[in-house]
Amino acid sequence: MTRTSAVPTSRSRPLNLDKIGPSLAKHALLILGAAVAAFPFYWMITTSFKEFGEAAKSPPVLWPTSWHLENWVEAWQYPHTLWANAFANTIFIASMTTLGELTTSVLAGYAFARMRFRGRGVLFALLLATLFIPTEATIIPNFVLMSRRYLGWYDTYTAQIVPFLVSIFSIFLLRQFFLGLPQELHDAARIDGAGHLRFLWSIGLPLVRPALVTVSLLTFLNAWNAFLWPLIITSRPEIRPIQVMLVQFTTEGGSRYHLLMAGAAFVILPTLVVYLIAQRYFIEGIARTGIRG
Amino acid sequence: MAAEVIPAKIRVASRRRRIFLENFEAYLFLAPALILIGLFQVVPGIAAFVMSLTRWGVIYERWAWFENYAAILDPSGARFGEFVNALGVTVWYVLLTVPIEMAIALIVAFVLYQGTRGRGAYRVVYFMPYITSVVAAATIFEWMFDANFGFLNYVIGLVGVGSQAWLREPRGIFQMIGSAFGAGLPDSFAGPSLSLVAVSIFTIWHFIGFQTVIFLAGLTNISRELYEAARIDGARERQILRRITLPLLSPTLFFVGIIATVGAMRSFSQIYVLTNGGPLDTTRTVPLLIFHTFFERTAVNGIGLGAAMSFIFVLIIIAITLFQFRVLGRRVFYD
Amino acid sequence: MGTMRRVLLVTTIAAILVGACGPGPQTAPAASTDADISLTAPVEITLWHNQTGVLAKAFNDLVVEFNATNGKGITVKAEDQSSGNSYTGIYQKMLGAIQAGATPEMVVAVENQVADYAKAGVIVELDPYINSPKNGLSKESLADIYKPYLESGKYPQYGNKSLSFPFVKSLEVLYRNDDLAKELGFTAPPKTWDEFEKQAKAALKTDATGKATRWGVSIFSIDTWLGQVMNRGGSIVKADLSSVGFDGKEGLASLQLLERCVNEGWCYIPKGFDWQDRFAEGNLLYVGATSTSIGFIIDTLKGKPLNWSVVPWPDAGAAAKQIQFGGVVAITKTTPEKQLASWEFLKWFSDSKQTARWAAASGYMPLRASAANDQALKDYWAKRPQSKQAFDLIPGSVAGPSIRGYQEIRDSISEMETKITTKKAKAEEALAAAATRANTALKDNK
Repeated sequence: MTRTSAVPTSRSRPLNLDKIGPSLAKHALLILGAAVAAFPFYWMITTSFKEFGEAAKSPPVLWPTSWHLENWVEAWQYPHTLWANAFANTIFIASMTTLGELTTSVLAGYAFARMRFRGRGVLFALLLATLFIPTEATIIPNFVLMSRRYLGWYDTYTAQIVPFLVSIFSIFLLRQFFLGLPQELHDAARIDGAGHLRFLWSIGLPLVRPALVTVSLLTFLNAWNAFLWPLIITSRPEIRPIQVMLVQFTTEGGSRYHLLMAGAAFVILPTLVVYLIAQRYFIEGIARTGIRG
Repeated sequence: MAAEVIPAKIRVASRRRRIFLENFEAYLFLAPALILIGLFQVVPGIAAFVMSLTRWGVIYERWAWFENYAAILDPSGARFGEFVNALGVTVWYVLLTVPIEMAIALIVAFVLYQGTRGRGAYRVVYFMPYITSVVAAATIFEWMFDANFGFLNYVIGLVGVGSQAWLREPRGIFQMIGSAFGAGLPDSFAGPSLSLVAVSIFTIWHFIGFQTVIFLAGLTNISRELYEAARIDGARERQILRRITLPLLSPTLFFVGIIATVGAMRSFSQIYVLTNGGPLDTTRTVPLLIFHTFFERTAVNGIGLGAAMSFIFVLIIIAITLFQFRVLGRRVFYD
Repeated sequence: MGTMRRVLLVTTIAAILVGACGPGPQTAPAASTDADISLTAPVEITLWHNQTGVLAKAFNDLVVEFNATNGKGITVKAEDQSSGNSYTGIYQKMLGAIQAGATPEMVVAVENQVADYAKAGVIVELDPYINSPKNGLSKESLADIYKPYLESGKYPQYGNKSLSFPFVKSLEVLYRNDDLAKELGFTAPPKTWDEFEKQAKAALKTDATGKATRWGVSIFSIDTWLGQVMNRGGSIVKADLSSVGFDGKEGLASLQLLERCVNEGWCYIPKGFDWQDRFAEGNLLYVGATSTSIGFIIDTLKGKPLNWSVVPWPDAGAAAKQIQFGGVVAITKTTPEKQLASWEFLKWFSDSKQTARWAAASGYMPLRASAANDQALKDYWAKRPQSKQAFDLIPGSVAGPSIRGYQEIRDSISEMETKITTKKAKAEEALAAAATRANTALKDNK
């Protein structure tokens, strides 16, 4: 879908709010909303630099009187929190998951979109049906599956990666994109004797690049924010990812808010940076999921 | 290419072979995804169902057929009370989040679509809460809700309202408001606890950007010629809204409504991190009850009961979704 | 698929699951005759514990020393498995490990958790080891260990067998701000609960707006309440485990004291551990808390010259009882060699020198009376007289029941106290609700 960049003329706007309130009111509303959305982040950053007493003062101090950069160092070096490990672990796990998920969803999405095979409709419907399997219940069997008696992946990286190498949402998204490719492309490739794989590699993938970026970003983000499963499936602190480390940190840090906010910042800032750079892909990817009749 | 006379049998056989190869190739493409889904979702799903038919505490005890289901649904049993309680909390949670999220997101999307300057920048800011991890955001919000020096208490203090315990307040808000005016409401009308309201505030903050973006996309999808034509015909704002915008937006509204409702019902991470079901179980939604039954009361048939609870819950979700399709789906306008 | 295949599939899965699990329910832990073997080859064992921060370091130092000096080729690997959630964290981990067939050789827990593990049949009985002629404890050694600690290691639901050994023990004590007490004119600690209430009320001070700035007491921990019930002559659970005992008149009186203090404002309702800040500021006359808090109070004081001490609980006639609690270690069933190696570690750790050293490093109570002769511990007590005051109370202490379901009973009391502090219910109502919930737990866990 091409993004409309031109401002709609007053005649073609869905609702002419100019009659209801002047431009100023509109902006006031939006700014208020934006302030609410952004305030927690603002608070996190400023508090992380505050002096201990100031962080927990009433009435709240909106601008630090003194900037203590050493808070970040103290939080990073806090005993028994292995931030560096956690970062490395999470980057590793997230990257592997993203690569894997891209692969499976491209292959599966393409197959559903462009390949004719027996049972396609039924299989697709079954795929939809699996969305209704209660995830609350499958945690325990999955946990048992990871045990020594079966896969033996308890307390490993593998357990944190492999179950997430597939996502029904990504399959749907890629399928949507592949369906959008013109049939002529396929026919031309077929005549030239190219098989599905070759077509996919040289023509299909480059054309669905926006979807690939979206899937990568969302998968990476989900892996970064993963919390519950890593918590129960790992026990060694060295292989734990960053959200679990943050929980450990907040429990140990107690009420030292200046340090807690620094810890939260460690965890949030990387995603914020990636988000700000690639926000177009994030947002449009999400938007696309809503455009279905 | 010279036309060769190929015997019919060979032609059919070679075509069948081609079709077989194509099928094979397709399943090869699907294999990774199917194996993974099968192994980590379908098999555990079946296993969970089998578990729900057993008495299973720390270890497997015995086969129990549908005893667990009966225990949960038996009005005179102890399990029934806590399950119904959790359902009630879940319903309140949905009511406190979904309509408000959608309303705010809709208004913001409308205003943004007006071609406001800096629309892109606003969109980016509004979407930020959605990408932050629940654990990290909850840390920040725990401070905001703090009873002694939280920002929210400061703000309400400015308008003369006393400090509240927010996340730790188990009293129902209706009862609290009522007693502020001297009226004592009976316990059954206490309403959702202030703690649940606090968790809902967090959820709304988290999801507004997400829904705004989808509504915005939905609005963008409506052909502008329709508006031009309507205005040329002299239609007024209210009529445009009612006759054009809302109907054409209804598929998106419907879609978001369903997703938001199911999402709210299954919501877990943020409640777990913020309150873990407390205080006094007033934020213990069904997913949290299931989690507690599995992981904290494991020893007393925790696994059997927990599994049964989750399947009962899935049926309820399906029922509610079907209901939404039936009742609201009828009013969705497809062009 | 066809019905036959469906049945086969379900049966196969069920069989796998059933096969995946340990022995049947309610097996009492099998008696082990392996206590008298010798270790011939190096053994490596893992211990799951919940020590964090500086305590973890002190503990690790001890473990390293054991590994270096045991001379039997035993290497202990100690892991903090609490995930920031102390005993509950290890408990959840352990339950998962039992399901996954991946349990450590030793696990730290509280008694009711060991009772749950034992139901799965994974815990080794310790009596053969304690009484082993070759590797056990001598009669003198056994007598040296405080009886309450050994008693809590016996499990009534399993024929009173010993299933755990004491590890990190504390007691619930009453701290007093002596300076404030002197200022208010009280020199002797209160002898009765009424006197206690009077003294606490006298400490209340409010500012111009009516907000309290000084409180009489903070007594909202579960063990403080249970201690109060016992000191008034009541019990937590009846001896035959048929029902709870805290819902009698002693329990009501105890809860009503809390209710009064909340309504009249002379008690401080803590959020987490912030009562330590209030106490250090000099704004709390009495606090009921664990003996482990001594170190934290000293830290919070940061050298401020406050005179404070541990005083005995008031008693309404019965002998004052402290509640003792804390972590124990249980050994899981593995191989005879690993089990013996684990026992050797426990023996060493609880020996006089180590227990004194651990107590001096951690603030936990030593496990043996003879530890009082250790110089390192004496020096520690010279700097922290409060620890010695708590230590003197160990012989008269009792533990909560070591039964399955005790956690739920504690949860019901915690819920009850929350109702009182948030003024959501009256004392009678809250007490009755707690008793109902606790009795259900007792029944479920028979």
